[in-house]
Amino acid sequence: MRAGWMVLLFLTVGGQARAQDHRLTDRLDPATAAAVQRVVDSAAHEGLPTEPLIQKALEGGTLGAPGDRIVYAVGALHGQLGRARAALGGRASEADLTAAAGALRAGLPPDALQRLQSLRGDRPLVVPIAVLTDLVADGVPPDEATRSVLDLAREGRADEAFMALREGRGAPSGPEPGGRPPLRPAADPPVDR
Amino acid sequence: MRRSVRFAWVMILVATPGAAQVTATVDVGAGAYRPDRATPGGVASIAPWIRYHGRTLDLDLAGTYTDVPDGRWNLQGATAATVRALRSGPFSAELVGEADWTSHSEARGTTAFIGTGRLAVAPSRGTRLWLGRGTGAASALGRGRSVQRTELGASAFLAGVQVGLTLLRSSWTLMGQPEAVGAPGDTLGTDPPPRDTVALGAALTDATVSGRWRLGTVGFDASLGRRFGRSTPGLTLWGVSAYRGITPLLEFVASAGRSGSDPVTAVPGSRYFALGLRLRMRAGPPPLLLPPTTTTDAAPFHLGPALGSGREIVVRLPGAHQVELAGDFTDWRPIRLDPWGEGAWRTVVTIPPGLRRLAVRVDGGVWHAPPGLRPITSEFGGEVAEIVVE
Repeated sequence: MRAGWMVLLFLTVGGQARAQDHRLTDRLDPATAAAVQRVVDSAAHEGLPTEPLIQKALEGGTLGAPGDRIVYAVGALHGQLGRARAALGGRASEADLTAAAGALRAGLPPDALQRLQSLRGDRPLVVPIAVLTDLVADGVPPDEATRSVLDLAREGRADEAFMALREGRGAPSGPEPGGRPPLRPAADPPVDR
Repeated sequence: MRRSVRFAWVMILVATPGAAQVTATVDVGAGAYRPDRATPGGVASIAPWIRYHGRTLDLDLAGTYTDVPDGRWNLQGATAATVRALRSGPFSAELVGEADWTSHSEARGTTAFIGTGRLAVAPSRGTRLWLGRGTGAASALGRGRSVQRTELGASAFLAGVQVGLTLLRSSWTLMGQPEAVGAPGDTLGTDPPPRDTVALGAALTDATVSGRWRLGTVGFDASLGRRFGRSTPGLTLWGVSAYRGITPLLEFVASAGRSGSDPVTAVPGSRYFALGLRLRMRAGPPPLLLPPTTTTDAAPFHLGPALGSGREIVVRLPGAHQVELAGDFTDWRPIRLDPWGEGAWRTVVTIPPGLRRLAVRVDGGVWHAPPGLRPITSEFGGEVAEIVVE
């Protein structure tokens, strides 16, 4: 019982001791800064990265957004980061979680991220997720985009291959759609004509 | 879901030398072929291919060694260098140099050198139209000939299929001989006309539609074309390849098709079928190419490699009097860029790896995505861009 009170006291003191981020108080009006700080504190308590939330608020400040819009956007990102962490697990890096939050925002299902993570192992997910999000944002059906990215991940390909996948959708300039020529026998000598 | 959010587009930067990519494969296969005017039979082939893809330069090297019946062999090589010379908005220009050659066990080989200039426009992402004109020289059967090519092409990504359409007109004239009109083109399989009536120049056109797609774990390449000319019998050309990964570095590949004769060197076409394995080479360290200096780099947005002092950012905004940059790597505090000549503005800033958002402002106006990066509508109403920094 005594230990429980000690824990409660520690959490309370710890929560109160978390100072407001001066970047918020310097750049936002007091009410908005306080509201954003509450979201940030909540994220920290949940073990989510807080820097993307602060940056989202600062972006709103620089772009001249009203306070309630900033708070709404920060809250939405908080939710997306939580869903991203639920998909990728607690060991996911901040960069991976941020990219995954964008993918979820773009409409990709969490299980696509989970499959990608299982195929990539400990390798960073930022580039594959960014390419996946980009393809979907560009109108490629999510299933098709997911399959293409997962195929590369399954083959153990490096980030450059994912980048090439995105670029490859650009524009082949030759008569073939790009890639290596087909396997076919070398031709016989020339004929007179 | 708001469309603005769904359009979260990411620019993967390829400005650094580390982004150069080398791809290499070797196909080893066997099959059957029926060449025009030669003995059909079984063949075994080895076909290496390597591609270097850089920011402004692509290099392709391909070769095929084929062991054919009766102890004969053929060796075929093709190289191409593509330089992306200019880019302005949706328009771009590139120069292509090609050198092809063949060598044969019982006959003289051929060579062809062709330079082509292309102008292209990309009206939307994933769609491109281009027009090219090339000229060069070739040698076959001990005779030289001048070569001209005109090409018109389009490509797009439609319903998961990368589709290409091309029209390629090739004409040639035997060097040192009076130009003739009405020559036979692809008259393969027919008896040659009497010697004194053989024309000394000709032209033909290949119209081709091609596609690349995946179904499950199997990838496909396919093409279908028609060759025609003023005095050339029509000829249908086609090819299908399918490939499936067995391991990360090994694929099973099958190909079949009907290739046309080379209009320039008269190397004959064939009907073929081949089965083989494709070994993918793990790309080694990319070639150490120095990034172009910013004063000659015409790219509208340039991110330099990570250095001790940070990364160089250069944006091209001709006519601006003041340019500011802000992003999540500056805590969204605007930083002023320095004029860097020829409409360029520059700064050096530390950018941590990861997905980064940024925007620029010109002369104190509204914030928008830097030129060359696709704009994303921010939740806050302005426009920003996203980049992945490695």
